[in-house]
Amino acid sequence: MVKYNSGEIRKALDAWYEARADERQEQILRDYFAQESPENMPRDIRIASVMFSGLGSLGGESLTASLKVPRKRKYTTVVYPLIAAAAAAVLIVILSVRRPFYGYDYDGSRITSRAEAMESAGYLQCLTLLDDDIFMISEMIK
Amino acid sequence: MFMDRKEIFSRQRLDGLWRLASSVLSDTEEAKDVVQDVMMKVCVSPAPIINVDSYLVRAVVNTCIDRIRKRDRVSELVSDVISESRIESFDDREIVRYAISRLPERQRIAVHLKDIEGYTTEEVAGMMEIEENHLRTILCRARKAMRDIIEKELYGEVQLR
Repeated sequence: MVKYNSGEIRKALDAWYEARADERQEQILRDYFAQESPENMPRDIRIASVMFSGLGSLGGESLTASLKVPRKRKYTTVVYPLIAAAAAAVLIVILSVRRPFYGYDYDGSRITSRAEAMESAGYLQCLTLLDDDIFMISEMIK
Repeated sequence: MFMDRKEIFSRQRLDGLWRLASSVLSDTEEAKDVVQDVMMKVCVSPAPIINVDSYLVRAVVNTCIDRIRKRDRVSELVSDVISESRIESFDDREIVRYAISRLPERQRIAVHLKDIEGYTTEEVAGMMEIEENHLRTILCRARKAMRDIIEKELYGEVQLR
């Protein structure tokens, strides 16, 4: 924070009112009024403080700040839903392509191979025939 | 290098033109109409624009002055007394806005361009189409007048100097 003496400020201010202040003097005044509190200022300096503060505020007013500008769509609002839709489509395709199911093996596992299914059917047929034979023998023994 | 029409109206430039019109007219709403009128004229006009800022400032100022004169003619016809704007609060900005509104047109324009928009003396003189010394005279009167108005608002009286 730069400290200015009151003489320097008054000289710059007088020049400013006469519209003869140079760039350095205008900057001194802007800096001074930006950093000093107006409460303890003499009357004439206080008036100038109000003027500088008010002029600065008016320079910051904006018409376009209140206008709504359409926001650009974010990458995530477009791409992520597309990815999710594609993943869902793939899942549906996968689920819709059913693997053939022939039954269960002796240990409870699914039989999805035709060859395996035929083999298993052969074994079961043999067991059925064997079962018939065992029944016949048991009847004969009786 | 001539600027493309649609590149002329940046947000910064629009804000500056609106602020200028608001100062000259002392009416922020009417200022929007002025800016819109100027935009329309610029977009429609085929003439190339060399110095954009200077052109737009002059266009806004001339449009504002036309409106003020129309306003004055209407008030004369209906014999109404136009009520002077009063400050509604003691906010520094409102006090200064009020002070500017009490100035004559040329002083308002000079103060706005120099002290609010921050153009150099040379630039403002070019925009107002006057000599720099003449501009300094206008600014000097305007700033002192504003000082007196603000002093009266803050302290109720103006001290002798």
